[in-house]
Amino acid sequence: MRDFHVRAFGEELARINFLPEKRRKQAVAEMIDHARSKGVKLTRPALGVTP
Amino acid sequence: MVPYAELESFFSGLVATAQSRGITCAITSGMACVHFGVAATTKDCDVLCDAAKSDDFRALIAGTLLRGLSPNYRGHLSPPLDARWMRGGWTSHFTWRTKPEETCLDIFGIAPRGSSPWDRQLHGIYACPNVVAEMKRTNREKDWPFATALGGQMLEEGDLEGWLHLHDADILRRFMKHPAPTERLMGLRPLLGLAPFTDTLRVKRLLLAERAFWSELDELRIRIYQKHLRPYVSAVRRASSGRRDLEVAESHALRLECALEHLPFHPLRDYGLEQMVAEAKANVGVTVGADVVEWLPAAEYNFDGL
Repeated sequence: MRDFHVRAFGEELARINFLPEKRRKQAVAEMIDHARSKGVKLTRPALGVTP
Repeated sequence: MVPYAELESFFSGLVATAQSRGITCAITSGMACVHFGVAATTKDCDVLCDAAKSDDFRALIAGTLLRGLSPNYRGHLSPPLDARWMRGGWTSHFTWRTKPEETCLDIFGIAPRGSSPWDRQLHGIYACPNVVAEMKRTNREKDWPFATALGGQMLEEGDLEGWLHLHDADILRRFMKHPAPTERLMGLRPLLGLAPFTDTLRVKRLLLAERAFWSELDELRIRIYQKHLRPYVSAVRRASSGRRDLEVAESHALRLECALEHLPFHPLRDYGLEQMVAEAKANVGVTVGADVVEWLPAAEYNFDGL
């Protein structure tokens, strides 16, 4: 499945996906916080109905 | 900025507290995907909650501060967190006004596209991979690889239901080294009858058709809810006199009044679940081809709880 993860999610997320849970969550946290610190907005739009 | 680790801990704690009080609930969607090994860059949280416990969960949410901030219903568009509407598939939305971005929580009583009772398959504070994967069959392209990744994981752990979630021709073929799909699974997903999936072009076309079908179904589902939401949102706006700082209890009472007037309890059932499936299949017959319709999933099973 690793090559599927690379194809679907990219190299970095694929690497993170195969880390042990604790390290995976730390890596996800770093990635999300880094994006947010650069101004990326990750709040979902207010739609009223969640897809 | 509230760090993601703190948000994750916050929502995990909320659900754990709820469970300790006898409120059956579970984290699903993005945060559940991260837990199961399919990283999602989301900071908001989706939770499934037993509709019968909606009052208790709402009271818990109302009293749960995040960095000293009390929650509010999100904007004017959230239906009330009330069993009558939760059982009809409505989702309620809450927010904590953290800076620079608010922190959002969406609450489902029914797992969209769920084929079995989500509340009997919990993995600790998380919904099970099968439920999470079914919820990823949306009208958004970006969600589908998550379903495939979860399906592959399920098969690697010996759960044959994973066959229902593989949406990639190469992955389907490669997973033939695992136990083959059963007759029951083939009944639910006719495409599995093409095992060992060596007719690649045919598999790819049917995968396109399946994805188009689930997308059509999700679009129709959203349209049905949104049709009722429009007058509801206007009513809530008027009733709240534009205030967005109402506490949960006050906002809830106001939303109940507006919802009783504008939001049917069971809009999907009222529309007709079989009708929804038939329409989605008919649309795929037009967009992809009439010959693929017989290969589409038996989605009548994917309205558990409704």
